Amino acid sequence: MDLLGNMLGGFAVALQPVNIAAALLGALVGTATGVLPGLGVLGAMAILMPITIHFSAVTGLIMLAGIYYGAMYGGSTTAILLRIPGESGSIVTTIDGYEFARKGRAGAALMICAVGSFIAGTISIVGLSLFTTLLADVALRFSSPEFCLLALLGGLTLVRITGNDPAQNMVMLLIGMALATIGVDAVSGDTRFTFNTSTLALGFDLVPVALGLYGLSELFHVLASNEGFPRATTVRLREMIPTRREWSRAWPAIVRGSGIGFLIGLLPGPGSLTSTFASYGVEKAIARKHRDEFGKGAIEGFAGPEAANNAVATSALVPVLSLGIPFTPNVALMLGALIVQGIQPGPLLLSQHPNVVWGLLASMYIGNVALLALNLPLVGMWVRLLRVPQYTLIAFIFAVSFIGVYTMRNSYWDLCVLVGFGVVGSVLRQIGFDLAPMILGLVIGPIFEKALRETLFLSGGDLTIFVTRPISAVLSALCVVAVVGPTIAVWITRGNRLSQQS
Amino acid sequence: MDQAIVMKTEASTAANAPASTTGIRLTSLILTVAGLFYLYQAIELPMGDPPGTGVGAVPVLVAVCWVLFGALVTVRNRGVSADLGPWPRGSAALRVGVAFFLCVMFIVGLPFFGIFLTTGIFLLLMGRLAGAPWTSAVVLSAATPVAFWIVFSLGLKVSLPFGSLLTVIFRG
Amino acid sequence: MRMLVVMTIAASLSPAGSLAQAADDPFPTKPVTLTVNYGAGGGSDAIARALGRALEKPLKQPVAIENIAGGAGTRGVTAVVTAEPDGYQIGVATNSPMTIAVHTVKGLSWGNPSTYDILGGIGIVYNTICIQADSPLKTLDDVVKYAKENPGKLKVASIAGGINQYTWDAFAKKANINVRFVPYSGDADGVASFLGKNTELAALTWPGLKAQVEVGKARPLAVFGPERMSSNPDVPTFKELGYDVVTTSDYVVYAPKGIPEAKRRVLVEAVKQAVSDPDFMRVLTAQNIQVQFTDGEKMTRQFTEIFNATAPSTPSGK
Repeated sequence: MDLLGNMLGGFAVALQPVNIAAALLGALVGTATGVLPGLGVLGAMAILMPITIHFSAVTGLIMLAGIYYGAMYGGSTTAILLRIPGESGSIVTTIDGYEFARKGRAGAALMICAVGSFIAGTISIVGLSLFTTLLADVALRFSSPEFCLLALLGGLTLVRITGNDPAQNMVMLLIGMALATIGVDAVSGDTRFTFNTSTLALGFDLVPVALGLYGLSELFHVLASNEGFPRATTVRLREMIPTRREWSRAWPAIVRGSGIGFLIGLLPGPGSLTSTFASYGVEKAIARKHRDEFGKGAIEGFAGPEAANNAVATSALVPVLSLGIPFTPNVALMLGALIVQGIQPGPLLLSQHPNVVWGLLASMYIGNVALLALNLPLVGMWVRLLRVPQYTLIAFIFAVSFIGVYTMRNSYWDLCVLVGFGVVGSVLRQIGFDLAPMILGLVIGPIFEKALRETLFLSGGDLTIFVTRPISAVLSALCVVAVVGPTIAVWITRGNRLSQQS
Repeated sequence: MDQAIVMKTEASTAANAPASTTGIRLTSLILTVAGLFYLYQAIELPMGDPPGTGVGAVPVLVAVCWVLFGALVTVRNRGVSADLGPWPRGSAALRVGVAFFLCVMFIVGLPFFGIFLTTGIFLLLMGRLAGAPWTSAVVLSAATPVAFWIVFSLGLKVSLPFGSLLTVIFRG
Repeated sequence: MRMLVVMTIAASLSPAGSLAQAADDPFPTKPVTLTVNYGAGGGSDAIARALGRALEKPLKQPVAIENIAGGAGTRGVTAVVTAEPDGYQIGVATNSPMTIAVHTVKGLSWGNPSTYDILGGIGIVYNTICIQADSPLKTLDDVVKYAKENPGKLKVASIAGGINQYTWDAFAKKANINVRFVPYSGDADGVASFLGKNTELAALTWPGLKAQVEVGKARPLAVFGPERMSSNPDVPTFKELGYDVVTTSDYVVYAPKGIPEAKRRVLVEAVKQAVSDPDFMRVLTAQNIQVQFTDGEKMTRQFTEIFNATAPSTPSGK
């Protein structure tokens, strides 16, 4: 009952015209930054933050939240249409979403993503409204040893999900992890592998590397081939609406993706990317009938991940709203918006400023409906994007990528990384390496390293800490299964075949 | 005539299949050597006290696995399906080369010409390279920097590099 | 916005070469850039943006915020101190990158505090040690006693390589105790681990821990400030309790060395006014930062002290 009262109070705040306008504006800006590769959601939020000072705290927060989940909506668009991810959370979507679009179903793919994002958003807002405090306590049970094992488990299982060769993927993953170690060490603050230069101390940031490997290399590929981006000739309404069979495959994946994303969002680390890989892995693992479609345009392969990254955008708010601890930079920035208003975020936020918290939650319901209403008509427009002359697209994406990467931290080095990895990505793809594991390594490498070293500091170098804590013990067991499981599975099938033969 | 083209295509496909395996193995060899270099650098770093907490611990772990898996991929002989087809040749390869050159020139030119001038020139040349008619390329290269200027400089107050050239001209 | 356009154009088109050299030349005549050494979002950025707005009033010019992150916060400092000392490029930073990280990051073109010009301190962050609220150890003396009897048994969550580790090391040495130091990469991680009861103690910043103190999850033992905090006068200082360790994290506004004295006076005066700006105070107070203008010379002395103490030749550096 109390919850209902709170929620109603929240809607009273969220339905004020200025707050609806803020949610809409945020969602619109977010969609735009999500669509344009190179422009990061973090940058957009930071740039707009000073504007929020002119409004009340809750209005500012609603706008920033709108940008955050709006970007997750928009990120899939270029991934599906051009195979260039708009945000790092849409990298996985380039695998199957693009192939699906090539079959002439671009409109349907976008619509599935929009509806999936809406469902994921709604599921996780409900979860957030109901369980915020409870989930925060669960999240605290996860500490360094658990994060370390989760990262390890992620690496061990995810090398099997893309491409066709786990050993090659492992090499790519490890190179990604190695790249992440270059520069300033996050634990001690020391520099390493910099050869005493201040340039290398900047390290390899995720955005220029991912945009180089996926965005620029795709542009080089298009320039090299005469085939170009898939062409959309005419877009009829019928082609934009997914068929009944497509829906029936999409919605279970969307629900699973929402659940995965919601859980991953509770934990520290860049959840939007890891959740999409996890969702893709799960979909591929449990697929029976359509397993061989993965990589060739399986609906589950983009419906699940796109739902997952939207769920993350919402559930990442749990640790902030209940504990006042931001686990991702995006959420830290939203805290910043509270701070500039003179509101101190922390465990007392919910009791001291209930209108801010519940108003934000209610606005997210409204924001998600608004995004759906905004994006369904836009699907037709986005598909028409493919009819924009190709030279315009190519030149414009190059320019936007450059300016987006440069403004991130005013660094020429990041531009060099962008172009360098564009070339590396083109060459490796041409030879037959899968690039997704390298990006994954770049993301989970620092999580793994930080967590491992914190764990060893905590235990004084004693490795048994990984099996004496209950959650860690379960995760350790899962890691062992992940290593030996596939081998045993091969033996069993081989044994069966032998026994059948004899 | 048609026959000849078909035969040629088949021949090139046939030649490409083993080539991609060789490509994988050769690349893996190069990557493994890079891994050894990384390992060599990593073992110089402190391992920490208690062991494993230093800046060098995880790099050494990563490097050892990198070299092992790299060697595995290099040694074994396994066919792969490269999904991108043959390498670009002739004018296509030249286009990619020029595109790369333009990217490099963008970075080199940025400190001197500033973001707007550089973007304009880059868009003009890149548009032409991608097959735009002159008029479209000019419109694109003029409109985009103006749009950037309005959005970033005026709207969002982000400080962008105006370039040493403009600074020198306008400030003597 | 319109004003800004006009002024920017006017500033860039005026034949500045002849005008700018005049002695009674008004300053500033064009937008000033304020560099912050961390990325957008987060505490430093919020402070920089609030400071920028507060500086616009006395300077009567727009202040553009520039985020130059990386290199443990040293890269932004490099951008400021290597800029032309014309008064149009200033920066805001804490003492960690300028006095501690400067020793570990290689290839920097600046070093001890005499290589840049501190215009003044704007805010003080207290460092504290907190204990789990339900711990049987009540006072700092209890903790020290317990730690002496059980060496290596207690664990403390802190941040490596910055002022927190430096402060903790100094305290542990004075108290002659052996407590397992668990470094995290920031306040958020350290507080989360402490709340998950992985460590008994937390040696972090007061802003990071204050919220947990208020809900009764953490209990402050003492702060490392020169005197008690005005917001929480019941928390003693380490100095009072007999451990003469006084360190604070200070936010300073700084500039490249060699700004003409007239321009420098304008800037210092603007910083002084900005610090008393109510909007600026609100932002810092929300982060539990003590707002206070400190003279540039005094700040330079403090920085030099920490810089020398953390130099690699001394054992506490690593």
